[in-house]
Amino acid sequence: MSDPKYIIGIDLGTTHCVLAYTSAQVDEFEAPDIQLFNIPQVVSPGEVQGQPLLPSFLLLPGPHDVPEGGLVLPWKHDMDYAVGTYARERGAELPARLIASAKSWLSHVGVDRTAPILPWDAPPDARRVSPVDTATRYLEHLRNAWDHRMATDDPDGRLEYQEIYLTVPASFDPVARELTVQAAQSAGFRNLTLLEEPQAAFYAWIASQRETWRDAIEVGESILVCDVGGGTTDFSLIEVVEEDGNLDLQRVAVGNHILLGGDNMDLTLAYAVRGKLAQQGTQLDTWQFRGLWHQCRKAKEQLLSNPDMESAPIVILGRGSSLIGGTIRAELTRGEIETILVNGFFPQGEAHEHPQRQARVGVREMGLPYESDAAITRHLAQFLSRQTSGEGQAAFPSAVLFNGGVMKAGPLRDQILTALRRWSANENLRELPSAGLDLAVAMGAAYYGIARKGQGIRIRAGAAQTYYIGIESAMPAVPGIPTPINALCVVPFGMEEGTSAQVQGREFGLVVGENAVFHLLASPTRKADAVGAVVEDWSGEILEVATMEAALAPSDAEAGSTIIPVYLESRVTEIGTLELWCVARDDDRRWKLEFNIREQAEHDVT
Amino acid sequence: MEHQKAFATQALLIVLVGNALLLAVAFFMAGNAAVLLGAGAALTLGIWFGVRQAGTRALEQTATSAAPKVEPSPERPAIPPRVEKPTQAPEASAIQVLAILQRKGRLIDFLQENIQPFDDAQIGAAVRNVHEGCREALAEHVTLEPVMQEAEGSTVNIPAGFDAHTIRLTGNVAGDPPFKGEIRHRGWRVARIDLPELMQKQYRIVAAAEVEVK
Repeated sequence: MSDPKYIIGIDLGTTHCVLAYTSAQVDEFEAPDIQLFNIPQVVSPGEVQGQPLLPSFLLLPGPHDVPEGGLVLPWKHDMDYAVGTYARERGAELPARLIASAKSWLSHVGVDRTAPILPWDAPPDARRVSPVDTATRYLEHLRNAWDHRMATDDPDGRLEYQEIYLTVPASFDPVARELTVQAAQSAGFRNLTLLEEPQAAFYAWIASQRETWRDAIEVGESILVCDVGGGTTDFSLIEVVEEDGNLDLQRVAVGNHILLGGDNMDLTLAYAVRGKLAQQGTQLDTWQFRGLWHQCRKAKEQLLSNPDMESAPIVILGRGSSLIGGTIRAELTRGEIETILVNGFFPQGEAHEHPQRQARVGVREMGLPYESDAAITRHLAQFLSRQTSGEGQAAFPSAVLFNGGVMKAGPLRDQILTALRRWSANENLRELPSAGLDLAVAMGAAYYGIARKGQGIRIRAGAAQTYYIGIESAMPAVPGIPTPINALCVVPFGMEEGTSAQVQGREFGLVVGENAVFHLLASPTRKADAVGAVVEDWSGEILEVATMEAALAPSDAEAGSTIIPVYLESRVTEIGTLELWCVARDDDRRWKLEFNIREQAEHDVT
Repeated sequence: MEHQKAFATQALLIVLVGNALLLAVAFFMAGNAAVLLGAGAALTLGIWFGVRQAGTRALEQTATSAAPKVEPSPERPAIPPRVEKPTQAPEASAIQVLAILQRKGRLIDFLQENIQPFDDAQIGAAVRNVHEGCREALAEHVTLEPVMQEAEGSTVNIPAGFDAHTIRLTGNVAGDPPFKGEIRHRGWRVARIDLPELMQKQYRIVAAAEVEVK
């Protein structure tokens, strides 16, 4: 295989996807030229247009929902689904045919992510696909679009031969990362590496600063990357350290997965305006409500960018061809923006005020597990108190890099900056200028590809959490009380990509012919545990991620119930996924543990 | 190239040292320094040239055999042929522009509506949306730039041989250029127009009728 011609960065976002690329022939002396790829997509039945953003929406139309041949793409004439702008627009009229926020489903532990469950609330006869398949279709679309534009006359230009960096939220657990890689492989991606989104945003900042970025930060300080996108909120801390006289960057902490973003905010505003209209006796149908949602987003942007404006008009045009006659008018006032958005989503709380978990009553519906506390600042306070207060932990951030569409609004950035300054009593806490809040992640991912060739600084990252295997403690069993579970560290925090570790000193007996099941646990805060360490009392600090299992096929000489002594080996792959292996002590056999993503009866081995 | 240069220098050094030894021996034996030095220098140059040629050729051969042969391997599936697009009527792109302005800004609904019975405030409210949508659509598909870069109201010279397609003269036009005049309108030129590819035959539909099934 010839060398890749391009380095490609892909932001597979909750609300849209972006692809950036640059030449793989990196020139040491020239600033990298990172381009955005215009992604051809259906914008209206029978019309295809290239746009830098591919909305992450999948439309699975029924037989009468789109005109025949209306979804044809320049590279495929028998399309029975659509991805992108038209999928979003038409899908809004056909909610039972539309899949949105597939990425949030990909990280939802409560469902089988490989089963056809989306659209979630569609009628029983509707077409469905799995969250993983949905991601595959977005990536497939990108691959076909790229091949169509870049490789029609040049087979070496095809996407599968390029070096690809695919971004995931830093808070994605190992299962969600693994599933993302699976989706990419099904879409025909080969040369693939995962990169955390906040890191990508930081790389974009470095790329935009050129050589002056070293002057903008100081050794010893830590930088908060605050990424509030359409569907999720993601925090990371990056520390500036000195290594052999050189500046070095280290990603020292990542936050929990917070399912809260710009869409929630706009929708909250739309509900408020709908309430006002209802009081005046005006009822909106679903079509009009969608128009209202869109209008609220615009009004929000206007009010937040013009501090003198007292209110922004909201106009929902008449539905029929009589435009003016049927117009419904309302307004969004500054007061409402302040109460609902600024104080509702970004309240000025104290550093110790953490998200309020509301007790859930009865059986919870299995939709997406949105945060019950919408206050992003409280989530931030919790993240910082966990990550910066203890011994050996990161310093409180003295600079912030914002990312994500929501952060375009100056007043919302100010809310976060004010809170951080107050919590740290540091008036000089500053904001680093972002390199384009919607597009930075894809651009930064492409820059990371250049950095990996030695032409720029790399952030040292590795495993985002410390990982453990649950083992039963040796205490005698007490009837009625579950045996306490200890945590055996298998992957230390920051374990580098492309390395592996053997968990010596602890052997497991696996029964041939049966499934061996392990519980994978993780902690975002215990960063000092080394491989092989056993943690006994870990309430609240360590959480279960998934179960992992391996089927042990017996060799010819072994009877069905032979017990094989094994030890564990962990590996963080070059791609950025986590692997656990059982290695036989007495011969050279080894079994890979696979994530168990379906619900099933659990039985443990210890 | 780097290898070849290095090789040439090395060859020259080796030949020089070898010849110096040879000459020293010959000097002791014959005693005529001038003749010997001349002959020696000529010999040095000759041998060096020969060695360098041979060596370079050998290097080139190894380089060619080491370079990977760039051939599309058979496992690479061919890129599927582009989907053929139907031929369109000449007015197809005009209809497409109308459809885009309707889709994004409801412009056709607005222009087709009788605005007589409504007061200005009502019209104004609707126009805000129509304007916003059409403006976005325009920005997405068309780039417009002024024909004249100078500000409106400023005085300009119109030289002889100006293009009457791009500049329209009004007022007191007498005699031959150059003219001196004031810019009343800077003009617009389409710098880019980028309409969606039509993958289907245009049916002259600007907006499809909508029927809500009960």
